[in-house]
Amino acid sequence: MAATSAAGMPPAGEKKLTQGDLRRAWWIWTFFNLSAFSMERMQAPAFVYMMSPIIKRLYGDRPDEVKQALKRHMVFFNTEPQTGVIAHGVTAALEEQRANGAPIDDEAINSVKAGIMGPMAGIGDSMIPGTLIPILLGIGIGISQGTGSALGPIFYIVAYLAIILSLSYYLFMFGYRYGMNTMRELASGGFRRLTSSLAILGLVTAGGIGASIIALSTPLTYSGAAGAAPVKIQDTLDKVFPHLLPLALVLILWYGMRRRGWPINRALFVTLAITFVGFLPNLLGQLFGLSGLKAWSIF
Amino acid sequence: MAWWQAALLALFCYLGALTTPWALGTSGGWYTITRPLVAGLISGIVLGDVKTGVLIGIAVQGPFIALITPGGAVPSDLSFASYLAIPLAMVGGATPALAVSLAVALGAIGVAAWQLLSVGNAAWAHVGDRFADEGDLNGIIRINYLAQFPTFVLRFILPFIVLLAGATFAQDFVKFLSNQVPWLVQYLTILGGALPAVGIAILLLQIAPSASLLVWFLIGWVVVVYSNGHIPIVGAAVIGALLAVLYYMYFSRADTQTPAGAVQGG
Repeated sequence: MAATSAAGMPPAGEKKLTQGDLRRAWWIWTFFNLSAFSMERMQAPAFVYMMSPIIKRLYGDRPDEVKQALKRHMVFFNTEPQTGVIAHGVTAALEEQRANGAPIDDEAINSVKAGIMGPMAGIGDSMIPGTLIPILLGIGIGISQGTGSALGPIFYIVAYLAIILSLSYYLFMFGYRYGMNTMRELASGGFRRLTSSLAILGLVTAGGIGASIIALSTPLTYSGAAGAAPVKIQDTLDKVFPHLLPLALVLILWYGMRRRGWPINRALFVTLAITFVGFLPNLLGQLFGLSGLKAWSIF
Repeated sequence: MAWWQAALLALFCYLGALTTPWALGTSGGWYTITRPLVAGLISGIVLGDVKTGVLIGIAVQGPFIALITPGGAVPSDLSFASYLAIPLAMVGGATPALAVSLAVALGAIGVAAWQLLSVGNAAWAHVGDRFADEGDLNGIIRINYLAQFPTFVLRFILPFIVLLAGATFAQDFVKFLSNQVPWLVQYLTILGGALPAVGIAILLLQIAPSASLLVWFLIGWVVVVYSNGHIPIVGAAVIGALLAVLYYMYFSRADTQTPAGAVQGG
């Protein structure tokens, strides 16, 4: 499409990828994108496998071109595998133009691939495992929480696969249709507005999930006037702001990771430390039989 | 746990691994079969107790709700967290909160296994270079299949052995802990309840690059907590969807930089 649509019917001898070639390439990638993953070359072997129907169609009769294409694509490649396929579509379009004599060398193709895979890794990671998956998991958790019904997980399986497979297929074909203009289309305002609106959905849902799945409360009591029953501090907190302790913990961890650059392991350790320190009086009370200490346990 | 149950669970562990193609690649495997929510259902079906499986799966899902593998760096190994921790917790009769602590521990141990695999797999890429030099397309295609051997050993054979061996003493182990060191069980239960906060914080880190965006997060939070559970997560998602539509129509501008990692780039 990319090169020939202006001319209408492709002239005799012109190489043209069929819809079947593209669909096969997408299926191969969908299955095999990480199967030979390594730190050194990441998704390169899968990229070549994905290109195989395209290489065969375009260069099948020229072994030297096949060899060059294999070398060209056996280089480091890494992106978010489900949405990064936009780069694969663009590559298919470029290879088609090259096979028809357009002056596109190895470097041009690989710099376009690299130029898309980086941004798409960022966008894809924040949109799919960062937004879509937590939303669907949150809904699934909500459906089954308390009851343990199978419906929640089943909802997740069906909804996720339906959304991600159609989105991935669409993006692959989008890349092929727009070719070199793909990134300009993506940088357009409409796309950015869409992703920022989806982030709102993700954030609000994340709040709902957080409020539902974190359990942290305090057994501390406060004895007011003599003779009166001790007041449970948690009850007082719940009257003002329910689930305040889980929220505080989330915000501490968020602040640490965002502003202080904590790695995830540090966040885990901080959670471990906070809960342990809070539990320490209870622990010491049990170990040394000091029942009075237990009253000072925060968690 | 019968040997065939261990084998089935190990098989799902393999099918859901990050580097296994057969179940729709990463989409159907890593992002579906290996999510603890789904692993809870599968473990429940295999072990004959769907309700317990799903409840433990929900709890274990918390810390891993927004697990992202940037550049292939896995911060926690979900395969072992899902298909070792959930079944073993079920067989051992552990509470969901206890299962969370176990899953996070096994996930941390599993990272080493993942690193071994992803470094070792570089050998396949070098074989691929040879095939590329020879112009052997089918050779490179074959690599994508051959690379399954190390994944199979790591994600099927190893979990099978651990499940089979672990199941025999999981119950005694949990009982021993509860009787001999009750404070440890109490502490791990508190920890297991708190650990999902890490998952939510990671999620926020991904979608709220600036503090002002926390307002949206807090809307979802207060709606659920002040409704006293009458508005469930699904309700928060619906409210979020409505707000997103409003935002799209009236507030977002093409030229202003707003939420989302949409602008993060790599």
